[in-house]
Amino acid sequence: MVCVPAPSSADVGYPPNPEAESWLANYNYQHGGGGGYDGVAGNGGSAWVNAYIDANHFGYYVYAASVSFAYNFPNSNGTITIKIGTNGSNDPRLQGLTINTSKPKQITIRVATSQGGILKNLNSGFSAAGTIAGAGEIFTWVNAGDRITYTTINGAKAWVSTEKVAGALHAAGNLTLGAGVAIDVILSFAGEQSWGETLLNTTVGLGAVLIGGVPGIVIGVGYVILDKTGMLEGPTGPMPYYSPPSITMPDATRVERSLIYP
Amino acid sequence: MFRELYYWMYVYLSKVKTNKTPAFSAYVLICILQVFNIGTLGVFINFFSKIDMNKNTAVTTGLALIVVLYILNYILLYAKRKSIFQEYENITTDRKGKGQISFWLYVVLSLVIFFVVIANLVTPKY
Repeated sequence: MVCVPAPSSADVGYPPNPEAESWLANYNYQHGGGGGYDGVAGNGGSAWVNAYIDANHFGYYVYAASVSFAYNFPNSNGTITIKIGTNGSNDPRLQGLTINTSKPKQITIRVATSQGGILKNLNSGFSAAGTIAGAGEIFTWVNAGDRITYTTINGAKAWVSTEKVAGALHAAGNLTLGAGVAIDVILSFAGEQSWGETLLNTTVGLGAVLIGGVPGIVIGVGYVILDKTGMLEGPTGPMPYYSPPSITMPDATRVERSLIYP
Repeated sequence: MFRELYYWMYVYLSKVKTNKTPAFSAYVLICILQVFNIGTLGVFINFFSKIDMNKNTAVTTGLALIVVLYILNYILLYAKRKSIFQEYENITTDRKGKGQISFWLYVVLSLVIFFVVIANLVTPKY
């Protein structure tokens, strides 16, 4: 058994919720390890779940600063089970550990250090795939002649029309853009992405498909670069203190130059 | 229903000079709009059933959904595009007007309703 030290409220970033904490206390949720309850089959580790809880209409969210393994702590009659929504991974950046209980409440353990994990990479991958396909289309149109020749496995020469190749690349770009929009929609549906971000991504995606060709790719590529390099995000650190310039009115003060030089 | 929507999407995309494949783009856009419709329905269902979906599940679901829609619409719309275009090119002027109004209503309402519902009925987890 491995117990991860409990994080402080500052680490977690959420204020304690006494009502929810007392509720959790009844189910022995404060302490990890021990008890012989190793949670989901195959995952033998344990961790400390910090009971900093944010209530909403779904029930409670339990924010854990770190999770070393999948685990659970069922009460004496064993009515609580914990499902691991992240394939049992011990990556603390992943979210989605779900607790189902016989009580009419649902608890979701979230890792406080969420960085997006797999999702962010997958979404970026889709954007990149669409970008590469679109750029390939442009490159093909610009650099290839009417035909693209190639050598078959038998050593013979063959050709395919440039229009066909460029069309296939264009189709691949459109399909990946559509998949990106679909992922954004479902993320909004799940509450994992703000509707504003979905609206922006959707507008750019639909616009790129609608316009098509070089202008569409320019829009799509430009947005991907701005988005993935973080240029569309606000400042992450504290803003520097700003002191407004003081306004001084000239007065009639006059300092005479000294006649005696040191 | 979607045959006519596909036709009007194709007609409007044909007017975009930079778009060299309007039929294919129309097919992709119809699929995306269907995702919005399903998403809207899902929000209403989820409002009552309270299904908790994490990020990875959301990504998987989104991909599965779009792949299914791509396949279905390819068979039902894109593969039959010539017959669809012929069918709707020959309709009366009155019928064309109604079709265009229905098309724009569908596009605008699909997007507007989705975002209104998302903004009001989904509990954010981010």
